[in-house]
Amino acid sequence: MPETPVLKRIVLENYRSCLRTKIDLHPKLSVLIGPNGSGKTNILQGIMLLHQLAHGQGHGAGLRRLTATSRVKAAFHSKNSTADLRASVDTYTNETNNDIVLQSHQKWLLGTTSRHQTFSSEMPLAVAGFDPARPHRFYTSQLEMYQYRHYYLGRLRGTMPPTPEWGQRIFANVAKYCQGIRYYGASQFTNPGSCPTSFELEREGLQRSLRRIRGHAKILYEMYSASRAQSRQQYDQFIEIVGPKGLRLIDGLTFRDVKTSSTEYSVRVGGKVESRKRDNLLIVPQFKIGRQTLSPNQLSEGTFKTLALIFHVITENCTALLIEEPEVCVHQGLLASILELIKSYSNRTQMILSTHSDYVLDKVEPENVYRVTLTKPEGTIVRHIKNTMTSKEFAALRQYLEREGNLGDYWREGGLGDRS
Amino acid sequence: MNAGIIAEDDSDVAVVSAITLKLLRPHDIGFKKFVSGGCGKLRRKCAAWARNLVERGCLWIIVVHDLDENDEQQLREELTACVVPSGAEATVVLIPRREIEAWLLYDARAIATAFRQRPHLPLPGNPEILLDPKKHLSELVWRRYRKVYLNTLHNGLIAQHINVALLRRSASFAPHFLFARQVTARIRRG
Repeated sequence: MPETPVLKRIVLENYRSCLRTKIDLHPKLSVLIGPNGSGKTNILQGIMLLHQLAHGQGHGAGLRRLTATSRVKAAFHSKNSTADLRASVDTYTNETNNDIVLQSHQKWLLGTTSRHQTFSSEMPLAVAGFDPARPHRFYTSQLEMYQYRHYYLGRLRGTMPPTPEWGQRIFANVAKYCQGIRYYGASQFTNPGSCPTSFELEREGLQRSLRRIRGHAKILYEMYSASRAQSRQQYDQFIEIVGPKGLRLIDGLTFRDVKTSSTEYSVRVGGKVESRKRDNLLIVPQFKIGRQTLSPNQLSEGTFKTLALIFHVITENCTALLIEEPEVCVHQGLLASILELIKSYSNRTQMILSTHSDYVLDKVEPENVYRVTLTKPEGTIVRHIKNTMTSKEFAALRQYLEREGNLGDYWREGGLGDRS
Repeated sequence: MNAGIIAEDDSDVAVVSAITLKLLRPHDIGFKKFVSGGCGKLRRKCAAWARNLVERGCLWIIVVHDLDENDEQQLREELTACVVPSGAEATVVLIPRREIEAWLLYDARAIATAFRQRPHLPLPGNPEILLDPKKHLSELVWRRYRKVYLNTLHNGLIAQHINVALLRRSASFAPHFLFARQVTARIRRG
């Protein structure tokens, strides 16, 4: 079996506009269409909660009163196993409109389809995703022990049975899937002019530095990491696609490492002054276009966004990619290549994207398309377009695609019924 | 002298124009195109596009449409009826059985050259019977070369290196040889 599961269904309750929103996703490519404000972004952000759950919870004792409790139900399927999650999640939305999970209570039902075994567990996903290669992360996190005390106390008291080996395997795969969920929003990379021309890393403890950087600098850091990785295959592939032999967005990308150092002083009780020397690394990204060498902030918005999107798509540790409006700032010819890339990678990575572009719809099949609407009492509703039509209407759509036009035309001309 | 190409996407245009140029060597022609993005739109707009291409100075029209679940004879007649009234000197309707990528799968050397790789891919004896030639090519390229195949990028590149003699094995490509002969004769006449 492909051990990596796919997200088959997600139900979001009391999460932003998703009062009770259910979506049965396509295992490869799901495309959400709908008017502005219908809740497409909220669905993608809701799926990102799974990523948050897999990475552990944030610290925000002081923010408790600002939180909202949402319920998330998710069903993961692979060839031989299933995993169903029911979780209540307390989130706090920060100033950049990202959710921080402060507390969660997760109930899992794991099953094997081959041996017809099931097991229910309350093990948090972040614990299931514990990486034995980095045990220090686990043992030193007292905060984590506190946050998941419900689970650990249950284990100590014996009220929670240990997870069988097959269950641990399923758990680990689901955790890996959720850790690998990535989000690409066109709004993340607006105005490259605000992108720094360099970024600094502490030579020890890159993790701390990574947490501090976001947006433009973060994607540059990720490209830098890929370029310095032991296996540069992923980076080479990226350059091949965006380079002169591929989409011709850039002619080259290099990262200059400049060693810097600084001294930190601290005064101890009694007046003793201690100094500590820190070795840092200043990373200077340089894009080559023609004969010019440009800083990232000199790139056009479309170029920067396309580079970021393609890098997201081909990142190997990405298990699911949520893409918000891939068409923004991209020329149609280039968009065709990006969509082909997305479709090609959907065999390896589950792709979920939202769009307002009929051109994007032209390139996908009706099986991949979901209509998102917002109604007053029910909040955001998602329906597969097949379920918004009678079988006769769907046959008429098929006939239209065969003889008259494209799915994008059909949508633009009101055939999908989401235009007032 | 120009030929007009009506196809479902730009990668089809890239393949057809590259192969046509190879067939017409040493003569050179230019191309103008219309791309539908899907088969339905191509069928609806084919006649208007063919007329427009002729008005824009195209002497010849090439239409490419995948066969998929259609009846070949019926589809060919329908598309021919669309392009013939345009007034073009010669027209051809090319109908790959599934996708145009099947043609590329006749020449392992062209694929290797396009990806700058040495070992040739093990290709199927009759690529036209593949249900999804694009996926087949993509998987082969990934498995053997660890490279990402993108039809929008690589189809044109592969077609530039293809050995057209190998395409004689392809039934769906056969009408193009005849068309190329007609065009060559017309070019020679001036």
